[in-house]
Amino acid sequence: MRTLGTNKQPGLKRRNFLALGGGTMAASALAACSSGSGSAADDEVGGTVRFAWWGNATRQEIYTEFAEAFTEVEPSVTVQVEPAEYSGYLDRLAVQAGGRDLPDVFWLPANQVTTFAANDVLLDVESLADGVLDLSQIPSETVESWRLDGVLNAPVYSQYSTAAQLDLTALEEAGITDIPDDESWTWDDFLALAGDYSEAAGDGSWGIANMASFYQHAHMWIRQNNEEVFDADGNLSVSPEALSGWFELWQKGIESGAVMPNEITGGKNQWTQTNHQTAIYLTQLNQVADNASFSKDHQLKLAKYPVLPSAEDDYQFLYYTRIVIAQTSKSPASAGAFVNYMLNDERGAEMVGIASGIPVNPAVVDKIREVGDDTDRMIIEMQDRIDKQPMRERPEPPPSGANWQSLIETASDNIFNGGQPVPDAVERALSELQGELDRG
Amino acid sequence: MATINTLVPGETVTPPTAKSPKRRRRSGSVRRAKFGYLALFTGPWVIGFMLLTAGPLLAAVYLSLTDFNLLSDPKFIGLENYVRILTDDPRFVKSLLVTGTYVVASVPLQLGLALALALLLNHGVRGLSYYRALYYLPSLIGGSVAIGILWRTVFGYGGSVNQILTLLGFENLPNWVNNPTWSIWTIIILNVWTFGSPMIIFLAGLRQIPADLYEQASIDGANAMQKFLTVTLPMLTPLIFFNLILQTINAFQAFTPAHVISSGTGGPADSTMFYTLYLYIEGFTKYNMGYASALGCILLLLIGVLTLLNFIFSRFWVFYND
Repeated sequence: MRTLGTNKQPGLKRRNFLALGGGTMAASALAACSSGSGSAADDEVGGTVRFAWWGNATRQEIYTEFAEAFTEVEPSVTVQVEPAEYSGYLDRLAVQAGGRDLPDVFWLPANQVTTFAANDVLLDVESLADGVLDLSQIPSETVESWRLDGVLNAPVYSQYSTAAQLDLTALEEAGITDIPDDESWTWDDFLALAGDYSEAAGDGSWGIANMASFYQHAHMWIRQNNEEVFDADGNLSVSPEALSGWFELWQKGIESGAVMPNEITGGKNQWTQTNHQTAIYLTQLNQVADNASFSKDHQLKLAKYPVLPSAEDDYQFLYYTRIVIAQTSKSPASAGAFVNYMLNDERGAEMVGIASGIPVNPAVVDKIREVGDDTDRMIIEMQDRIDKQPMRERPEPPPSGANWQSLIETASDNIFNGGQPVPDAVERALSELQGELDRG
Repeated sequence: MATINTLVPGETVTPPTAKSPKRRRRSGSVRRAKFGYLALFTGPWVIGFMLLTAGPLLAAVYLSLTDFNLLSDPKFIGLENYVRILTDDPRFVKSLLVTGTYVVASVPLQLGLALALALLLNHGVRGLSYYRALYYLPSLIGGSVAIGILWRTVFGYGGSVNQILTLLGFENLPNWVNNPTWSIWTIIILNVWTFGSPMIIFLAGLRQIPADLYEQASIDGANAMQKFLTVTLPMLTPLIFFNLILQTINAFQAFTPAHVISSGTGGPADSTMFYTLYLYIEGFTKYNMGYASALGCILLLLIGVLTLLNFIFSRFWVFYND
């Protein structure tokens, strides 16, 4: 017979508990990775060039092929590609910068360029040996406009403006054939067209998705208010009224039924994400090729941006994708030769086209006119029309203002998802931005 | 040739009183051999700990006292980051509230579900190993990007959840992930779903409870609920405590689901601005790595204090069968 009460039960002991804790602690695996450029003397072309850029899968594939074709020009150079989606790309660059392991050549978006330049991590391309990087085919005033604080450390790879994109197929199916003249249409005309489509197309369709969170379009609105986000000295110069007007425009559109509300889009408001539930889109010209590829069965048309009646004529702007060489590059000559290839080689016209915007080299653009498809020609034609307008200067955001893009997104989120009044959301966004500028 | 000395039961060993030089030499070589084994077996862990935990931790503490933007060298600024966090950062407070809500809601729900299923599986279910594996699976994949994307779709405007609720007669359903009131609950549900890991531990604990305790309780006339409350639960308290500690620490570090579901913004309207996500945004989006390091140090301190409090209060409710 078993005696109860005196024997220790085989339950969990305190000592066992601690052992269990120790035993359950997971061991971390060490993933050591190293990479480095092949070494070559400063003015000697050869070795390995690491090249990083951003884009979707299609763009990654296109540029991988184009980068690999560089070996036909410089057989002594191997290009090691490091593509990524945009958001992951910037995060990775941050980590690489922190580890002093930046790629030799990489793209930089307009918002980040002054941050990198101010921290002296970009190579002045004028320090490259003569003949390595030839910028003679590009108009000299264009090249001069690329300088940051007088230094040519961030050449522009491609450029683009913004425009309205109309799905003619969808509009015609809805019985809308009377499209306003894009040389004179206003935002009221724009919302009226979107509203007409929403009404005609019926349930599940809207004229346009809510695009209030897109900073480049907010920027266009600000410029049409004859203001700028930052002045030439890097001070915040946009007024709360101008920024509020932007969000109120979209609010008005949602209330009238012209704009697809956030509840439906769920934050997926890019053309390729709304699955043809809309007929109109505000687009960067470097996205049109992807949009056209997504909408193969639809005829897309580009129109100039709607305009505020009070806007000066010089509101248009160009956004840049910069191509830079890291100061830490072990072979600046090879990196420079690769940048030269990216900017000037006419193979790019066929292999890349305008996958990331309009090339800066007019000869390459002319070649695209010859060999490109209808979409390419439509994009170039729109850019040509925009270029005919005067464009006042667009100062790049100062280093501590690079985050203004996410503040527009946050303000939009607070208004359209959080129900915050527009003036409060705008005041918060601007005061956060001012705080970041003050901290430097 | 090495010999093995065996001790016959009943035999006693008299410790040597005066060591001969030979014996001293032998004990020295034994000590060296023991140290060699110690180094061999603990070395990899110690090296890993120094390189992967202690080193980065110390670096983070140092960086938290600097202005470091990743692109240039850190500049020492003393406690400025901490002062700003504690006195002039509404998002720090917001992220603490969001994370606190998540921890307080998801950990008890997860442990409750894990315990309930462990009790169910402990009753000799046919195909137990199959169910164990099936229920454990979410613990392995729940924190992945793929599941985050799936969650976003399932709880989206036209997602499966709304389709099912519509079939059940509900109308005007929201986009759960895009609604500031509901978005955090989608992430809480995701965490609760990953109940497999604590469930396995509970299941192992249930197997350890001696059957005679239940026999005694039966003799005393206890019903199933009384047996659960007076035998099962007290005997499981060490494991409940263990799971509570682990899952609380895990919950404080939740990142991937919030990052994926909110597209890295912490939205809508900061409703999924988890502490780790905020830290990440400061460090990798805004390049404020010094500030992010200070946020990391505060999180470490917070988890440490909460764990300590858990241990202190455990003496009032955890039953160790010592």
